[in-house]
Amino acid sequence: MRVAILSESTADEMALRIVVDAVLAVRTIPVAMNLESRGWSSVRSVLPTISKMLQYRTDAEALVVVVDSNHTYLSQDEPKNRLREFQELVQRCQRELKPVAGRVPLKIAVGVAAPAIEAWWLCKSNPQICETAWEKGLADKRDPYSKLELKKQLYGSDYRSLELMTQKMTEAAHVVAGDLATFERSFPSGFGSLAKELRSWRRIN
Amino acid sequence: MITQLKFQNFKALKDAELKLGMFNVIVGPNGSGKSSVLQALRTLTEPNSINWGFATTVGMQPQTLLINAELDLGNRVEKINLGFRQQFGWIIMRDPGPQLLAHAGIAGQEITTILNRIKIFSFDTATLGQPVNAQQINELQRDGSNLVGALTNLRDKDEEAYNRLREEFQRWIPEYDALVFHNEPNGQRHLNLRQKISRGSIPASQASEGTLLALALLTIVHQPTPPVLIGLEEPDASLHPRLLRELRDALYRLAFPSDFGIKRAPVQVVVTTHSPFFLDLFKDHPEQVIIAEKKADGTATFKNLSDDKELRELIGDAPLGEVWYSGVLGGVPVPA
Repeated sequence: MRVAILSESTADEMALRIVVDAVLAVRTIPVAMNLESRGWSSVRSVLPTISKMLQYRTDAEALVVVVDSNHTYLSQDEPKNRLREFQELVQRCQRELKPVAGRVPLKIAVGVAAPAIEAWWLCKSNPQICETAWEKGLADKRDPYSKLELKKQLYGSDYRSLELMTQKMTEAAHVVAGDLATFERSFPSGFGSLAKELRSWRRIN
Repeated sequence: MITQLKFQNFKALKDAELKLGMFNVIVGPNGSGKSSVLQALRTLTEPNSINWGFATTVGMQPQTLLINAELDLGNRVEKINLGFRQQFGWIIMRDPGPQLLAHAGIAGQEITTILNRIKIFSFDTATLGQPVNAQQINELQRDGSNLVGALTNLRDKDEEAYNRLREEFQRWIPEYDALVFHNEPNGQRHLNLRQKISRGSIPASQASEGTLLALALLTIVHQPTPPVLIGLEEPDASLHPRLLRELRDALYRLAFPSDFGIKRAPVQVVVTTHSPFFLDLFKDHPEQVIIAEKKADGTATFKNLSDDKELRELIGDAPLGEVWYSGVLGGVPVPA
């Protein structure tokens, strides 16, 4: 299965692919399009274009999009909800895709990491890091941890090379992918909804 | 104007073709041939020798013809070749068409005049604010040296143009309200920039790179008799992103003077950039955007965004710079 991955940093892609492959239970093939963005707002801006380019000009079957939540909620009843915003955007993008003879429409799944993708990779080694803890902190106006602290915990340094980030993320992603149930329990909205969408592709294929 | 450049074995441009319009912004990864285009244009202006006869008369073999340029002279199109030969260096030759040979000499002279009016700039900001010999007043050099001389020249020869430059400079960099020249006893001419609030002056050599770059760019833009073609290597490099709109408009004034109510011939503009912010400003004119692409084997090619008829629809509302950065248009570094 040919799957493109769009996230906020090049370091994320390899790690995300490990988890995507684990959920799909297949080894996905990267798409020959070197995607990169400049943060979540950039992903939001370019997603309509990227989905069209993938649908019309590549043999990609699917696109996985993952952004950070930062200080937004993921619970469905909150107005400032980045997950819902991106899910609605994905629906709009998919509605705009015209059918192409000989290929199924591009599938798109979205995940939102609260507050940053490093939290996903740390959830096995530190059970305190989870969506519930983050959203409680948001409600109490007291962050349980900062994005910087998460990065320092994962990479072991405030200043890290892209190479080190990729290595640490990839190592952690293998651990997380080996226990998807814990991962989903820790991040039921941001990762759970992504996993659910990915599993629906398994049924289609 | 130069409408087309064809490259054969010229640096990374092993076999590449580039179509040029009146305004051209080239984006692409490092080593994709952007600077080679400007270098080729510069070489056209300063060959080691010129031969307006047949290419074969100087023993130039086709495989050594590195660059072929097509010039639209208004009433006809001329083709010239730029080649390199060990004994002669860079040689410009006319691409011989039988119907043109009868007036080869006159045409050659005309072409030479045009080529001499191509100016390519790649600024070295360290040279921009340096004092100059007061006796040696001439134009801005390709690395930005002699800026002080070029400004003095403009002030002395065309006061109106100089005043327009000053006004625009104050709009771009409001921190300064005057350019002050003074001559030292040793014959050196210095430029000081007067600070608007403190009224104190600082030597140009101590001004920021962006300030000096802005001054150099405006010196080019406000020339009363500008070149026929201006090439600029990353003119946005030291400018604040909010100044890029001003930069684009200033360059548009060169290329499309009648749209700004200016009565003079248009200047062809070729700029390179790595800035998504600068690229955002060209969304309405995909025909002005050229993507330089580096292939896995190290060779490079060019494609014009307007060649892709569906692209405007595909880009939709997204900022062009973001779309380029995302990688879907190509022209981005490929991971090892």
